[in-house]
Amino acid sequence: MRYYETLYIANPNYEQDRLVQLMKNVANELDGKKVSIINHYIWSKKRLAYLIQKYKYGTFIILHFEAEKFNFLKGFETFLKLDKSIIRHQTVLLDKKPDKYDGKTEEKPRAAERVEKEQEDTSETIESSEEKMEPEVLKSEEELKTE
Amino acid sequence: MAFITKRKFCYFKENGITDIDYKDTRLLRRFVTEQGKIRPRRVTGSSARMHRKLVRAIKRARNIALMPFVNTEQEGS
Repeated sequence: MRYYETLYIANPNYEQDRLVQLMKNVANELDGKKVSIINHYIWSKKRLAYLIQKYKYGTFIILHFEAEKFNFLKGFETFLKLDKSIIRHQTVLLDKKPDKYDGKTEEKPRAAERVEKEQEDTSETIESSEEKMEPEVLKSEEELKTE
Repeated sequence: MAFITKRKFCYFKENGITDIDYKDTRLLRRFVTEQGKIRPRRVTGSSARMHRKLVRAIKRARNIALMPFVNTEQEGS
C-alpha cells in the first residue's frame, strides 16, 4: 500500500461553499480507482512566495490518500492541471501512513518551534532580569547628579 | 591570541528530527540564505543524510510557492 499527499492551491477569491464544491470534484475524480481518502481538508489561506497567475494569495488544500496501484496518478494529475480553479498542485509519496486529521486538534508543535520557544523563554527571563536592574541603575545615576 | 571556533553540529540530530516536512517552512528557513539559496552543508553542519532530505524538502516547498526561488524582498523596506 502506498500513501500519497496532494497539496493544491485553490483560487484565493473562492468562498467556503465553492471550495467545498471543488473538494467534492477532486474527491469524485478519485472514486472507483481503488483509492481511499484519509484526509481532505483546507489547510489555510496563505501568501504565496511568488506570484502564480498574478495571484498573491492562495487557499492551500491537503489531500491524503492511499492506493494499491499508481497508474491512475497520471490521469489525476491531468485533471488537477486542467481545472482552472486550481492554480498549482503537487503530489508527493509519503514514507508512512499520515495521521487522521480531526479538525479540532492542533498540529503537534514541531521541533523547530519547540526549540525556538525554549530560546524565547530563556531570553525573556534574561530580559526581565535586565529590566529589573535598569531602574536601580538610573536611580543611582540621578542620585549622583543631585548630589 | 587564540581563536575559539564554534563547534558545528547537526541541528536535526541534536533536536531528534528524523523526517523533514516540506510544509514546515519555519524550519526550512533556517537553512536558506536571505537570497533564498540553500546553505551548504559545510556551513550548517548538518549530516549528509539529513542534508539530502533538507534539499528535497526545500525544493518541494519552492515548487508549491511556500518558499521563494529567489528572494527579492529586502527586509526592513
